[in-house]
Amino acid sequence: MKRKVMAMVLALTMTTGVLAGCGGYGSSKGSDTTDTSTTTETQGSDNSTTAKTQESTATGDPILIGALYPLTGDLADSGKNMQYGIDFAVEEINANGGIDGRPIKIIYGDTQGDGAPGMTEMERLITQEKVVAVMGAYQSGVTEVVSQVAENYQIPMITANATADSLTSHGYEYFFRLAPTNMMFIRDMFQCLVDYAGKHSNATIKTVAVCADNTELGQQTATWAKFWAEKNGMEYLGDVLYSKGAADLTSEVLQLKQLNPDALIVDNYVSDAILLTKTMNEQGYKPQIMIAKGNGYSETSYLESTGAQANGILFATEYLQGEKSQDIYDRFMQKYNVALNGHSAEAYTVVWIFKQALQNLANAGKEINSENLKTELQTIKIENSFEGGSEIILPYNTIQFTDGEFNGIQYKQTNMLGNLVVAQFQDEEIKSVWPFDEAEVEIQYPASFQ
Amino acid sequence: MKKRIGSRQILLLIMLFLVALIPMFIKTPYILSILVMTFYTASASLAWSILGGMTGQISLGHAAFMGLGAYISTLLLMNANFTPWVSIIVVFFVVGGISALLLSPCFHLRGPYFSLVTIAFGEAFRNLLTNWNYAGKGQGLLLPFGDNSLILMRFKSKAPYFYLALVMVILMYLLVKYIDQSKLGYALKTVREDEDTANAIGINPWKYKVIATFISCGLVAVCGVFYASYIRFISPDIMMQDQSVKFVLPAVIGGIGSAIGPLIGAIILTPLSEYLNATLSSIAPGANLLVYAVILIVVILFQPRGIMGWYENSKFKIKLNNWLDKLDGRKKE
Repeated sequence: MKRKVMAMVLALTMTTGVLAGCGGYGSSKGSDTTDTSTTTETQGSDNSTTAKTQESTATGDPILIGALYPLTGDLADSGKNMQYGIDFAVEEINANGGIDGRPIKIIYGDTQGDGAPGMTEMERLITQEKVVAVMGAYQSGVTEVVSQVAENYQIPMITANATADSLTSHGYEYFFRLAPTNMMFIRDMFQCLVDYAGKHSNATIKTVAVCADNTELGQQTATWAKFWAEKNGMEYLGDVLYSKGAADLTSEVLQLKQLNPDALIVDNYVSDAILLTKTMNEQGYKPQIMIAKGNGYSETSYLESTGAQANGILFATEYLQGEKSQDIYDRFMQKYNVALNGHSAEAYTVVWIFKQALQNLANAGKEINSENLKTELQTIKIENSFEGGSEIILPYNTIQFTDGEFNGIQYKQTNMLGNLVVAQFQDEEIKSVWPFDEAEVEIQYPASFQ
Repeated sequence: MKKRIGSRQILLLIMLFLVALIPMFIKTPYILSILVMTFYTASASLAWSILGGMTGQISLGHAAFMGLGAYISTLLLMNANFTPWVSIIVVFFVVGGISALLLSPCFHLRGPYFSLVTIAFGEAFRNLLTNWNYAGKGQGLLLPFGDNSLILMRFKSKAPYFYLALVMVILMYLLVKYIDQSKLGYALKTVREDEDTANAIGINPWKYKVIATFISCGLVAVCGVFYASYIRFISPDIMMQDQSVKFVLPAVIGGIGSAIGPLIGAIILTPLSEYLNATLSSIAPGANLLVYAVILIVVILFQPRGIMGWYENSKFKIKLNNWLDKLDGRKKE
């Protein structure tokens, strides 16, 4: 009987484990969690097509594209967001006649946030569903696994979100990247600091320090921060790394206080971000500038939990609601009742890139197949807006997959022109502050934290 | 006592032969990759069952030992051009040794306390590799690409992996079966049933637990070599505790303590979860896991001893045996 009870307890524990998908403490989980969920109210729209499902006017043979995302597990929320972005783009495209009358159809695969199921699903998409191209995956680790499968089967693949720099250095012919890499994230964060110090003589930014978790991403942030600090003539005082999902960050904050950098660079998942902000407040540590890699700081729950304590904190992100995309942002909000964020905006854009490439093929009278699509993607250059679609809603105006090299790392078929925007919490709202020419407001300096 | 070759053996051989023929008829990589994962999971589960099933020490850290095997073989391959075939032997002894050494002070813990320790060790190894520069830190390691090579266990198609996995699972099964019926197996089972009695009759529980750990962890590390060669990318994520559960479940469902249990469990569970994932996940994300979990709960609630536990006491077994005996021309005893 005792054995039976124990078996049942054990079984239940394991079942919950299975249900939860995977433990929420993966190292490469969430390649970059930059959910920019601005809480601004949507403006009442007078557009008659909003909120309604647009009817598809394309009736031909559908063109199949695979999308591989974590639809279950602890990253399911993020996966869902990207799914919205994709569906939204597909609906727009098909409502406008698709590609010469052929609609785009997305076949989803669920990676469960793990490499091995991701690989099997990728094989299903390619060999069973016979997709012409694939997009995904969210996490860098999973993308690493599935991109080699795509390469093996010679199916073009674009990743919208994976940021690990190494992904594009394997020389793959069929793998493309839209997302800004970790290097670019930290580069732009430093550029923002340098620009501000150049413009305002009262700001001295000579020393920096990093506070991040000790996972792959945190480590990369520290490495790149050191690199860019030296490049920009700043002194790197050191990094304070902690275990992800920390229960207490007091000693870390005291360490930071002792280092006392002019600018504090942080990269934390949302729960750690909240804890860090609160602990800093308790300990009375107020660095003059605190700049975060989007990640936890751009999640809605961050601002909800910290409130005014977040005021003055800067964060870099892939997308901010602005003039360029207000219409899309509003319609998206009405349809799904969540804000368009960095990830969904990128996923949305990738579908449009596919559309443009396929359209180019159709216009040139070429057959639509993986090989031609790959060649087209290698040469495609999209400036300002998509043909028959909206402007590029991301903070850059050109999309082109080029090869490059930086600090000994090869970047193949990466959108090297990508860049980020920096926002700041001011009066408990998210305001864009950098690049200066597109900024809503001036940077608050020093940060008030109240 | 020598067994005659009877209908049982012949039937088994025919079944094996049919399984081996699968890649000739089914060319779809998707189906083959599901089968490869099935064999791999079954192998790891069989390895786990030596410690978890036979000896009754429920380990929830086996994914870490699998990961260690994968890491050691990959590092040897990348830095010393070691063929995975040699790594198989290396990792068996190295990982077996390490785990036996580390876990040996913990064998005085019983029941869930031991399980907790194994979780802790798993996490410790994962953190170690997440922070170890030489092993690629959290970014993981990508195995070198190139043409097909049997020596490097590298193939572009699925069929060779299918046969490798098939051979692995057969050998693993035969080994577990052999241990199960050997003197060692009886000693392990005695330890499982009652440590004090075992001690009283001259079986040192501590010694046998060390032996079981060595074999079990060593074998699961061998599965890790296969995993690395097949997936061709490893990161500390493969050592997460939920991966360990994937090795435990087939044994629990198939029947803890029987040699064939983990095999049957894996043959049912892996394709089932893949099938549910493919059919349900895009319609209603999460529904596949829900259905999977309900099936698990039902089995465990009504058949705590797993499928083999049911089979051992069922009329079906008697009928099957009768039928097989008839085929052999033997009389019902």
